[in-house]
Amino acid sequence: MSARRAVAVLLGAVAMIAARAGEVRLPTVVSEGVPRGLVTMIVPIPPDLADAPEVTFDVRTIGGVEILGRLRGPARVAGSPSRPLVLTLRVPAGADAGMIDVAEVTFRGNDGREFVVPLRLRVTVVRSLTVMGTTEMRALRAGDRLDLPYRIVNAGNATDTVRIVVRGPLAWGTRLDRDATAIVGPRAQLEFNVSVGIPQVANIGDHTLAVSIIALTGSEPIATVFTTLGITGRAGQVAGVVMRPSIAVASTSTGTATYSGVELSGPVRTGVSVRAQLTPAIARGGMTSQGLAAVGALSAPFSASIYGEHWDVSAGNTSLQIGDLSGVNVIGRGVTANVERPAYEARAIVGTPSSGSRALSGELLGGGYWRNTASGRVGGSVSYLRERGGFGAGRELRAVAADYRSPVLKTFQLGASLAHRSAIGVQGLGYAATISHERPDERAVLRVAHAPGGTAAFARAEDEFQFEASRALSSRWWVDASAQRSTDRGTVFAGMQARSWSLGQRFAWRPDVALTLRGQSSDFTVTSSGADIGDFGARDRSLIGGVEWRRGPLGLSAEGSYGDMTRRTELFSGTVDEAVAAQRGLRVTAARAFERWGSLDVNSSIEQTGAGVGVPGTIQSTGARWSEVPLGFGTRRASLTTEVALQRMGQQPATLVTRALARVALPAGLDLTVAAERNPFFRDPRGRPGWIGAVRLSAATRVFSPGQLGPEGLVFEDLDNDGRHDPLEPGVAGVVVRRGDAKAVTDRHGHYRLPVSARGRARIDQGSLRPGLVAHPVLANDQTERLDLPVLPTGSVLVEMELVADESGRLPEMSLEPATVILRDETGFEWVGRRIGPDLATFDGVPVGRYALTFNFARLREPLRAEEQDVIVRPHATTQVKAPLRARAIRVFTPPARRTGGPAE
Amino acid sequence: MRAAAPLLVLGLLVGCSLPGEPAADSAIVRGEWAFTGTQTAPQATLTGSLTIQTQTGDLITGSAGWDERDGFGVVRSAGGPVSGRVIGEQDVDFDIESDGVTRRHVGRIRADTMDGSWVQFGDGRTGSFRAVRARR
Repeated sequence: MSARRAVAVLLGAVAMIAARAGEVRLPTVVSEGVPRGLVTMIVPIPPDLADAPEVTFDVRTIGGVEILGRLRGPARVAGSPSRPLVLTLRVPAGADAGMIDVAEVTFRGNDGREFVVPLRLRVTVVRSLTVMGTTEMRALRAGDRLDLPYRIVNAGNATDTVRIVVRGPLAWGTRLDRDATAIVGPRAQLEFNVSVGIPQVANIGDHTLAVSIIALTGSEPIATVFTTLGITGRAGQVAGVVMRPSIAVASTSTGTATYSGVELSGPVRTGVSVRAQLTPAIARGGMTSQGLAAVGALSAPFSASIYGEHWDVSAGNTSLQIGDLSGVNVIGRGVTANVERPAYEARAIVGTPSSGSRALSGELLGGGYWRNTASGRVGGSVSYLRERGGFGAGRELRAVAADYRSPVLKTFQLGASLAHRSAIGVQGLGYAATISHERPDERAVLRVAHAPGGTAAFARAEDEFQFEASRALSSRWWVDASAQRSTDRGTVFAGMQARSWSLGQRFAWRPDVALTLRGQSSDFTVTSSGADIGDFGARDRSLIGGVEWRRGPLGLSAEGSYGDMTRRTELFSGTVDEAVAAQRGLRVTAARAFERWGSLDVNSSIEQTGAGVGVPGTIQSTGARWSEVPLGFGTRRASLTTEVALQRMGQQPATLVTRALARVALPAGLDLTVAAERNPFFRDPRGRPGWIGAVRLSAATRVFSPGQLGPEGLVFEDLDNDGRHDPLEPGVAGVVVRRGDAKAVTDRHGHYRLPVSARGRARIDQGSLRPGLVAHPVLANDQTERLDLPVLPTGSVLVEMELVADESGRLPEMSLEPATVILRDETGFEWVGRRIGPDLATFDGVPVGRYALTFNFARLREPLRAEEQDVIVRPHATTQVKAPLRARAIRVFTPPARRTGGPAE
Repeated sequence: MRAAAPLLVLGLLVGCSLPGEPAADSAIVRGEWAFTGTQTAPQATLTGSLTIQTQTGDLITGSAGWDERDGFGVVRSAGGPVSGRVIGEQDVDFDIESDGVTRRHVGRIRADTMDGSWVQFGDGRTGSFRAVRARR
């Protein structure tokens, strides 16, 4: 402001004060309104001017408030009645919630007396909060860490305090880069980042991260932004081979078993990846192996694969489906290769049979080649498969097969195969034919096959017939039908026939209600191959009707069935026993997915069967499963799944199976899985059902990077907070450092190396730091490729607020609960304290350094004063601070005397 | 007629099995059995236990649990409820339900041993089994 202008303002103020010396101020008129709204204010003519023959008014606006209509003129003329002055105001769009002075109305009588009426406006609170941020990220990989930016926008006119809640998929690590409690001023924005750690075991596909803001006093989100995270996991996009060692232990009433295994996976160069596992077989079985399996500790002998987008080569334990007529279920130890390109397809196996516990001999040799041409897919396969030393006579096949599949002719496609098959005691021609028809509203497939030798000669069955069809009769009504028939023979049975058919419909009565009806029958008969066991068979027929209701995350269904069951058994005496019993049942299921509490599935069923077929008269089952319930405070770094199943069969005591599984994502890429189960179907040697407990700990670390490694860097504890590494400052182990696409984990001395090809700013994965450490803020502003990365130790601060009397001795009585306690660092960054009591607030994990302690009293009943004081945060220590809070002095106004006097303090 | 009534009741009691008891002409299989078996195509071995908890008339119910060691040497544990019937003194026919599929077992009883075959509905897996009594 220039000196000339300042003098002018000063002179104006003096003139105003002088002019107002004789005026009388009357009580304020207050009205209420919303921003952008129109408010009518009624200002009565002062009673003291009732005897004045003429009164004029003059409205002086304050703060740019717009008043519609006349601002000055006669309020009453001689001889007319006294009417109040009516003013219309437009509330400013940017008005903050609370009281604002909008104008003063001066009434003047023709005798020279003046009365001033202040006008104030109470602006209504308008809350308008939203959260914005990234809505989609693609081409992610398991093991990635990423920082996603989000923004809270407060378009309202009042300061709001919200909690930020991040929910990610099960066992994903998510972390906020700030306190979860956020204070956002009116028409202000607040930016924050969410660090996401994708587990190495994350499935390929789309996953959703939900970031919500919730009022401190509420439970439902005010606003949520959903971020779709697409994991492709394709070869060539990951820069390194990751090793995943894991250990597990299961303890049961039958004993204890341990497990250790290593898996390696990842690309060795662009487009070429490897995968290998070495998980020694578990010696013990029973409950201990069940416990280990529950935590994902599955044993499997060595196998290794190298693969690209269109090919793979596997060694060790491997399996292959050469062709329907030239060998399926080919399992053994050896090498297999597959190539599948748009123009052709090829596969081959060289190995020996494997049966795990029994020594098998023989050979597994076979392969095929198929070429895609304009006139169809043409090719053939050949196999020499011999399995000896297993159960019975073993399997055998020597086959040469030719295959053809036509291109799609309008809606039809034909396929045919012809093979010469030779096996133990069998030699003949095999064939398979398929015809399929497909349109958007209908589909049908018919397949017949004949493979001499059946399953004993590496086929699915000796003869197969399959038919499936479905059709949409309208947009709401679908029908489907299927029929299967197969015959086979093997080492156990001389013959085995199975037949089944099904005919059903589904009618969408309403968008959320569907009615289903299905008739089905299945029948099988086996012919014994020896004299010890006779033939036996069974037939089940039923008619099932159901109703399904689904609305949003809730689904309910009920299904009733009625039918019969037949059991045929040839007894040792040679007679055939056949029993038939009616059967009916009812099953009800309910499923509900919760936004924050996982999903709950409940089912209950009852089945009644007549006597004579070996099925208890009544079987009742009830089960519940609550999946993926997030644990923790606002983030989803751990999850819990629990399951209960109760079954009662006839007079047998009810069985209760209970399971619980918890997954916890730990820092430094560690994952912990804990399981507990009580299952009466697994018993100890004394026949008692026992508890099964198991724990698995796995880690992931990159062991090979395709590119050359660059210079060694260091992650260190910056004890003096200067951002530079000093000789006595120790390294920090187990910290994940990322640069661009590359990632490395520091060794026990804090050293790491990244590929030279990695470019960009080095970032510390905050989720990998142990509690008590945070990345140095200087890293956020780095523009250079820094090698030595500082992390800061943190400390805690405990603030105790204390109300003290003001200068006049008045001690206000009020709750300090609504007060917000703030620590502000030297760069202006603010931490908000977590309230742990009516007058206590704590700050956890604050980087060491000097802070200013401030308060926000906006939500208090009466404003308070606090002297700003410095707080020193020391490493791994708690600093206690006492903050005296004083009331503000109250101004007391004496009511104006008639005609004379003014405000007195 | 009045005098004949008690005799008729007595005759009914003698002629009928008491509830909760095995049929008079049925083999008693209630108890613990050591259970072993094989599976063909793909090959696997089964080792576990079979518990027949109740035998009422010809109806038997209980539970079974076993380990399956497959062609890769991988051990998988399975188990579930058992229900079936004993037909006379030599034949047994029962189902084991596990992981939503049912295996039907038909066997012969010889003293404290059951030998037989099984077939799994749905995927056509077959095999043989043997159960040797461990405890009555």
